[in-house]
Amino acid sequence: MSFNVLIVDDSSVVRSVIGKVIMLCKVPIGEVYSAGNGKEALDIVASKQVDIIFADINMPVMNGLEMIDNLERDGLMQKIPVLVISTEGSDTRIDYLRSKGVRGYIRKPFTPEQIGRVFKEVLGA
Amino acid sequence: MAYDYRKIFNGSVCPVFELAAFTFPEPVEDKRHLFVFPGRAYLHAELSFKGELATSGCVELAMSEKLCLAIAGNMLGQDADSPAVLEQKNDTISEIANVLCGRVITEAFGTSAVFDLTIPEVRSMSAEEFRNFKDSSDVFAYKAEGEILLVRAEINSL
Repeated sequence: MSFNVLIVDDSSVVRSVIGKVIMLCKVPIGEVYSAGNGKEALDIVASKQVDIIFADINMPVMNGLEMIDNLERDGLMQKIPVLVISTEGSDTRIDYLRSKGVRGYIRKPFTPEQIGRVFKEVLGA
Repeated sequence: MAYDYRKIFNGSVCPVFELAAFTFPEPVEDKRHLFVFPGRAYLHAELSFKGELATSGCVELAMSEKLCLAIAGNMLGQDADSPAVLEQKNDTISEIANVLCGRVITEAFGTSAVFDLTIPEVRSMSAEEFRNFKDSSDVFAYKAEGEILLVRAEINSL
C-alpha cells in the first residue's frame, strides 16, 4: 500500500523541502499533492484520495486553523491524519490543535529527521 | 517594557538560518565597516504580529538577492543560478522572515502566549535604501556567506 500525501504551505520552497524529505523516509509514497493555502487543500481533499496532510498555519486566503475547522466539521480529521508544520511556538495553540485532532506537530525551523520520525509514527510505518 | 533586542536576535537568527536555510550567520558588532555594494539588488521582508495583552510588533529582514539566491539554492538542493532557484527568491526571504518572527516571539514571550502573524510583505531595496536601513540604530547586522544580513524587530506591549 502506498500513501497519497498532501502538503499545504504558502511557501513553494517549503513544499519542495517537505516533499523531498518524505521521499527519503522509506515509506511507500503514491501521489504528492501541493496546496498554497487551506482552500486549495480542501478542494484537493474533496476530489482526490488523500491519506495524510502536512499543513502550515500562517497562510493567505484560508489559514491552517480554518482548514482544520473545515476538516473537523466534515468529519475528516478522524479519517485523514493531519500533521502541522508551523512557526507557531505557543503551547496553548499546540494544545488547541491537538484538541481538534491534529496528530503531530513540528515547529519550524525543522530538521528532516523530525519530519521523518513524526511521519512514520503517524502512519505506523 | 524595554526588550533586549540583541539578546532576542542572538537566540533566534542563528538557529533559524542554520536549520531552515543551511546558512551560518555571524553577528557583526560594528556595522560601520560593512560595505554595501552600489548597484546591487537587495530584498526586504516584513511581517507583523499581534497577541495577548495588546502586544504587537513587527520583524524585518533584509539581504542581498545574491544571499537570498544562495539560501534558496541550499533549501532546494540546487545551484543558486538555476531557473527554479531564481523563481523562488521572494518566497525564500518571505519564509525565513516568517520563521524568524515565530522564533523572536518565543524568545521575547516564551511559549505560553498566543500570537497571530501576518503574511510577510516582500519588496526590492536599492543599495542606498539597504545602506540606510543598515545604518539605523535599531537594526542588527550579521554576515553570512560573505554577505550582509540585517534584522530589526519592534515589540509594543503594555
